[in-house]
Amino acid sequence: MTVNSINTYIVPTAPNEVTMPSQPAFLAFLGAGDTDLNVTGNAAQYVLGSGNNLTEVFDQNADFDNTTGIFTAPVTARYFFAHSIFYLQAAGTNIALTAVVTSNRDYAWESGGDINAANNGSAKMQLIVDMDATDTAFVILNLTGIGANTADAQGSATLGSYISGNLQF
Amino acid sequence: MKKLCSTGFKASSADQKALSHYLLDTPKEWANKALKGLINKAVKTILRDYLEELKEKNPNGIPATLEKLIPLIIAMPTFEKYNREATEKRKAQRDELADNEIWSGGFDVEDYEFDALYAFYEDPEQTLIDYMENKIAIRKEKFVKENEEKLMKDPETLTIPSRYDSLINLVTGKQEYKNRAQQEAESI
Repeated sequence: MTVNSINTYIVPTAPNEVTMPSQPAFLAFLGAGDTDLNVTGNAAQYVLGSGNNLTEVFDQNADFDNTTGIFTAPVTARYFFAHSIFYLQAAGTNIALTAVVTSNRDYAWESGGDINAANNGSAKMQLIVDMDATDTAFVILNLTGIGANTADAQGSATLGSYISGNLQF
Repeated sequence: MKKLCSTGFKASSADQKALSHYLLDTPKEWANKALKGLINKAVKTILRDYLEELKEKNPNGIPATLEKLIPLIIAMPTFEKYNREATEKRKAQRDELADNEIWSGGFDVEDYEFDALYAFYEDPEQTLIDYMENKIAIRKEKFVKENEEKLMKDPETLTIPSRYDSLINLVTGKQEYKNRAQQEAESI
């Protein structure tokens, strides 16, 4: 067991697995019944977590705000983020842009807005970013081509729309 | 509603140039977001550590709002202040006078947020000041490192300033220089 004045931060078990219960790591998603309606489609920028509160699976170091979708870096380090936003009612989409927006820079991914026969699609990214202490990060979706902001971000029990991250090194 | 950091924060011109090279937010907007993160951490940690105890002591139910929960928890005799400080306290190299107010007016926080901050941090105002100074220090270092490499490859550059502020002023003073906001506006 390794401790400092505040936390027990490395915990070996009897068979020698190691857990780090204070290491920054979080996962949150838009839950079933929490679909955010009419959020993008005519270039409106939707922030995952800005509508209905996200359901938090875990947030080990209390760095993620599930009422805004914003992560605040507790220390200067490299952080890994992965996210997906499943969008509905997207007929006509010709650009689907998603991005991780951090204080120092944005990381964007763009496609032609592929949708399935039911007019749904998804945008996702994963990457490692550099953040300074108390910098913030959140994820966005921006669809264009529909003509109105009538596309939804789907909430579901199977984590179609989620954000996850942790401190890497 | 209560006020934090009403005495502000003063930065130099070179400090602000280094920040605007990386940030779209103003320094006050950056600090306000950082403050919201500090509040979130304080509130969530206090709830994690004390909510079950509060429920045990109130078997008939507890308030459903943070505005009422946080003061109740802090008033429990068993509650202990956390006395946290900023995790990083780098000091920026600074030759110019830091005389530009970048937090004019301070920050408004809800009463329960104020209480949570003072229960969690030894000195919330100093903590935010330390993080702002830390941010400036890191961005000035990054700016200098990135641009030193460019200047070394530039055949027209004969000498490179040794001090951060001089190098920042040299680079940002060039006619073709654009900060992040200007670069992004141009790329749209």
